[in-house]
Amino acid sequence: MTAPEFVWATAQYESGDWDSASLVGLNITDSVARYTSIKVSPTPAIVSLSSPDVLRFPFLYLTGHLPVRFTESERRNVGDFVERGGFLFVDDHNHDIDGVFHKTATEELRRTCGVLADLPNEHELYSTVFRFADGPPTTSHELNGWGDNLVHKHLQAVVVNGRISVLYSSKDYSSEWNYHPESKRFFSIDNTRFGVNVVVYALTR
Amino acid sequence: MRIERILRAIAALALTGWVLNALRPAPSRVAITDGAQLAGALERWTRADITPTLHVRLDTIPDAAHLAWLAALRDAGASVSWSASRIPVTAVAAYRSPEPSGDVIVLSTVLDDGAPVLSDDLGPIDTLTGAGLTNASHIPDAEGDLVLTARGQAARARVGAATQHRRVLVIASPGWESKFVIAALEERGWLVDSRLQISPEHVVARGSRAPLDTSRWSAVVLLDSAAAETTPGAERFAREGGGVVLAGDASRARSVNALRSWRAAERAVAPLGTAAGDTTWRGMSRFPLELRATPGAIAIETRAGRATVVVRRHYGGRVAGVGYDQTWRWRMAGGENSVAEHSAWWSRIVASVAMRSATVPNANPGSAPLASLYDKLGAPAPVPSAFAGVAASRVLPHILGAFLLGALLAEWIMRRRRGAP
Repeated sequence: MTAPEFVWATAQYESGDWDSASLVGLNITDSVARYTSIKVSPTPAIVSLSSPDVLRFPFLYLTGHLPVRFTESERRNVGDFVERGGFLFVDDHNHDIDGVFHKTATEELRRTCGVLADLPNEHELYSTVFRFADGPPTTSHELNGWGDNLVHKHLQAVVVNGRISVLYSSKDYSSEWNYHPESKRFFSIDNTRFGVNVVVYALTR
Repeated sequence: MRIERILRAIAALALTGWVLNALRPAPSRVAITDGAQLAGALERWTRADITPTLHVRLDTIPDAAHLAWLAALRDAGASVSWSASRIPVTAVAAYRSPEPSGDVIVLSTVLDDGAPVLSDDLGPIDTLTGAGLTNASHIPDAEGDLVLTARGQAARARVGAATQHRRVLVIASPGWESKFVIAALEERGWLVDSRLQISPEHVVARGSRAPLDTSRWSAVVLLDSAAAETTPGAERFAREGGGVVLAGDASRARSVNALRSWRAAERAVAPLGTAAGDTTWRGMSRFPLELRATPGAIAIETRAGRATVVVRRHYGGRVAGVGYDQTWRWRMAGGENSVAEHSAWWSRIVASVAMRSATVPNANPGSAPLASLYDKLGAPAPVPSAFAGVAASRVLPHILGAFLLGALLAEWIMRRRRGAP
């Protein structure tokens, strides 16, 4: 019996509300299992960024509303994680580029992982499984005027050796996907499909 | 009268001896020189009209041309020997890694304290330290010949051309192992195509989707049994010269039965508490590979007495079996150098089977001057006596002449005393 290939791991960090979107992992894992034959763990994991255990989970999801200020051990582990080829997906749960999460998280990522740059909307991330011709799909929170009242045209990324190592979103997918998987049946179009692309990209590039 | 006859006989014997001595071959001439004067001495010895006994006192080992010259003189009949009080022992060999990076692997030995220096045509590359040094080092490249010098003694090696590879194709079910194997190979300079089957209908592919073909790929890496079962043509690919790597449980696929001469045993999981960087596991699990009695496969890595990496030839190509399926854990959670070690390990395995373009063999991959000296001229010998045989050959005619003249004079005096004419 081999271990599941994919475990959604939510990053726990000292400074903020890391667990503000606790259903996202379960929901995206469910979607990956529905659309692909990738072996997934049905139970997402929570891993402390200050623990070397982060290196056991090559996919990490980090979100929150509050300021992000890594401790020394968190910074060291995140740097090590990215350097070894891990994939860090960071989403601003505020959907606000003037918000504290965005300002502090982007600064912390710049210090720890490198400079974030706009990801072209033709990037293979948008066609790995499902095709998103216009780039990152818009979220309902972008459209209803919450947060910064902007529709963000691009995601941002740190790219190392041609691979995304840090994917940063200001689109608030944390709110968009934070519901129980059973509720997918109420959507005419499954809004987690882009999450499947993110996971499959992380596993294949 | 009787004494006169005796004296005449003595004179006749002396004359005969003198003549015989003049007719016998010229005696050997001993010639001794130091290493510094060897070039001039070789010319003199070659032009000499007698067969000399030659001896060279060395402080460094002559270069290949002078050694060959000495060997030629020995083959022409001269007695050639050498001696040395202290010679720096150096040896160097250089090989191109078969990986795309084309690193130069330098094997060097210096048994001397003469601050050895490794250099190429562009200048010194490195200064080795310490006596009794035996090194295996990697350098990114070398221009022209590599020369290892210690106390004036040079050993020279020619670096071959880098291997040209085609692309590598990785086929797998998507997962961390495939992701990190692809990354590892790309980090070492391989151009990697991939086919990762994420669902029965959907393959995430990079590069061509054409059937396996040695004109396009030099090696194919099958990372699991599903990949092996769904990839037709691996056997033909290997038969035509391509390299095939069967990793994890890919060795269990029926479709590759013809390629392997081993059996993947039950998957063993590392005991609780095993560190991810423990290279006895290279991850946290392994499939021991049991070699069959039929010849052909050799184990190139064993753990706990059981093979974990094996290689065999298959017609024109080569096949490797890799008994690990979670090397990504070694890379991600291993020690400080685990990323580089993981990349290098995978690259070496692929390079060991990948099809290579035909290249001209390297005529001089390395040299060991002292070994060459022993090979050409044998072991060192004491300096021969410069006067042995010479005194006798020079003095004997004079002695015989004196006897001849003395005997004739005495016989004449005796005859005159008795009044005979």
